[in-house]
Amino acid sequence: MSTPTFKQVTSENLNLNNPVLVQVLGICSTLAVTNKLTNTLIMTVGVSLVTAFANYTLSWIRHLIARRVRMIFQVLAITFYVVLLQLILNAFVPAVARSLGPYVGLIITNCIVMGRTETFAPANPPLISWWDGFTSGLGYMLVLGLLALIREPLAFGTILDIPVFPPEYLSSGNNWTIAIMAPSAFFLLAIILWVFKTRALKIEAAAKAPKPATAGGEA
Amino acid sequence: MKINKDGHIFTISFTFFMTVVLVFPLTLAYVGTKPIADAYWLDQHVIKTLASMGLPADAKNIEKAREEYKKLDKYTIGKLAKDSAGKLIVVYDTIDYDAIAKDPTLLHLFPSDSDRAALAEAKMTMDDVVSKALQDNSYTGNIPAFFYVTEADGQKRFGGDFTGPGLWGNVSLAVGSNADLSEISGMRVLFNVETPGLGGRIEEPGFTAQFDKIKPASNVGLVFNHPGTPAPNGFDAISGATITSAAIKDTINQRALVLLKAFVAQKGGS
Amino acid sequence: MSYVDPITLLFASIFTSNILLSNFLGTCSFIAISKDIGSSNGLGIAVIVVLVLSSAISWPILHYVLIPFNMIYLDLFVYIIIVAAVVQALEMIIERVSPALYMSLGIYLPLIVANCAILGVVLFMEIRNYDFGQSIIFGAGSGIGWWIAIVAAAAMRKRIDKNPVPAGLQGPGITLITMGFMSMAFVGFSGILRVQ
Repeated sequence: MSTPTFKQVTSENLNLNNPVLVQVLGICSTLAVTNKLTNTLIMTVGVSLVTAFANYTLSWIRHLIARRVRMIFQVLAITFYVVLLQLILNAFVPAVARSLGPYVGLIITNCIVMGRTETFAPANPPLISWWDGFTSGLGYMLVLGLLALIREPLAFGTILDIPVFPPEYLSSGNNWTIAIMAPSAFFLLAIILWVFKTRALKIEAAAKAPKPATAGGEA
Repeated sequence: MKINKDGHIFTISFTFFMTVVLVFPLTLAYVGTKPIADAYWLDQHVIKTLASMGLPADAKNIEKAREEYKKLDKYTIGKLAKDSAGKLIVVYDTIDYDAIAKDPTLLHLFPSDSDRAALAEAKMTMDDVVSKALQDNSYTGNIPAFFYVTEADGQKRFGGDFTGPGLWGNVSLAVGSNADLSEISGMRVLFNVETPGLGGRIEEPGFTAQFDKIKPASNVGLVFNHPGTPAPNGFDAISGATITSAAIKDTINQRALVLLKAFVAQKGGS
Repeated sequence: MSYVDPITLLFASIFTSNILLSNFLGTCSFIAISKDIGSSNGLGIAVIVVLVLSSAISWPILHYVLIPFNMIYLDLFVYIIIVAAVVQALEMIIERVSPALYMSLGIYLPLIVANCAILGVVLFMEIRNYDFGQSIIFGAGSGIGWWIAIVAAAAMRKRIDKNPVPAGLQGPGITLITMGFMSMAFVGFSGILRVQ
């Protein structure tokens, strides 16, 4: 199996066909915080760094560890970096850390982190593994950042805590309370998914046939 | 999938061994970062206490705020004791709010004069007592009741930290008032674990600003505003967060105002 | 300790603060498994059992080891090991006791370790400082809520998949919209017991 180049990894993870969008992987730990853009950005940077360093570590020891204990080491390594992340967040951005609450700890069970450390790291050298982990996280950030960019103005009238709607929007309950609550995240994510998946299907269809096939037949 | 005994034992021991190895750098990181986190929350406490009492508190000028905070007279409800290492600590009493509401003289303030002497001998100040209580309870938010009194512009100002039940956990508020409890100078939230985005909005300035100079009615205290008819003792609840808003109201009415009344009765008037 | 009373807590954890529909936890396995009612049912029940056991084991370790020794920052290590151990033990027990059940359920059990809901429930229990009884109620209630959600979604998906769904929405897309509607419906329960 040949090692992919940096460029290949980047284009695979950061394009709009990435697994997060197509298969909706790994979103649970961050959907809850997408009602504020600041929280989302900090969470997704955290996921990127944890995936990157966990990938690096697991790739580095890939020849030293037997298959049986690799799973355990994987879980422990991911846990180690998440705890480190938590300590750093608590110290340097304590207010954000407290509003993120338990969701930082949930990065451990994030399917993206586990997926990359399971598939990419054992087969590739450390540096490219780090980069693969980091770009996977960034791809994740694109989707969730977009979601937060829509939710926060509707819910709080701000973007990054800077007001973008007039104050009347928030006073006496004029804001869209459902945008703060859970259902909006589901609907908005479905809409984003719809847009990108339709686009991906069209590209696929155009690439396969000389003239565009009807979209309903493929899936 | 048949696993032999050796496999199990090896797996388990490997797990424990790796965990122990990984714990060491984390402990270092924890010991290194905890003081930074503690310092932040202590500063937050300083700013919020001063703000709730109507005193100037600017996060940009934190040194000045810390000076002002040091000048406050601080009290609590408890007794001195020695911990297992022989160090002097304060043991906090459980508070019977109903009893104190009926008979304010039941409030026994700490430190008394003999307590002050003991503290001075151990080279501790009330500031140390407060910061230790905050650190010990930073996780549960079970902050003991503290009281503050100071004089500004020729008038006495009173304030305190009060903890009550919220929806998911404790809610700790800094509440300040004037000398006859006719006006609450302000309220700030010190601790909560309410639903982020809903109940968690009690921390936002838009909500807490409603309590600046609000006038509690004598028997009823504070109430929710009816839509369209704001009352002098009323505030708007957060839509979608009924229970948390009610928790704030109840903590202020049944705990903060009750204790402040008893405190003012003892320490008010020059 | 938290002051929430048991009935309110049970109701809140099942309905108004549903671990999946309000807190978004456990979405990955939810979307994957909710195609089929049989496996949804099985997975849901497995989740309930794992949740109750994990809460029951984590609570004493948290309160008698981690807190007294000031080691709360190590909580994640402890919880993930407990969850993995519980799932492993459960798998072995089911294999011995009922091979038929193991055949139908077996492959889903390892999935549960990666299910954010389990770790999430234990972390919520820690942050909200529940006592032992409340932890068990919260764990059981969250599991029951997740189970109700996945079985209802599976039943709905059976009908939805028979209808023409736009290509871009097939699979995860329509499942997410279904979850959105279910989430809104569950919010409606908050009028019953005055729980937000």
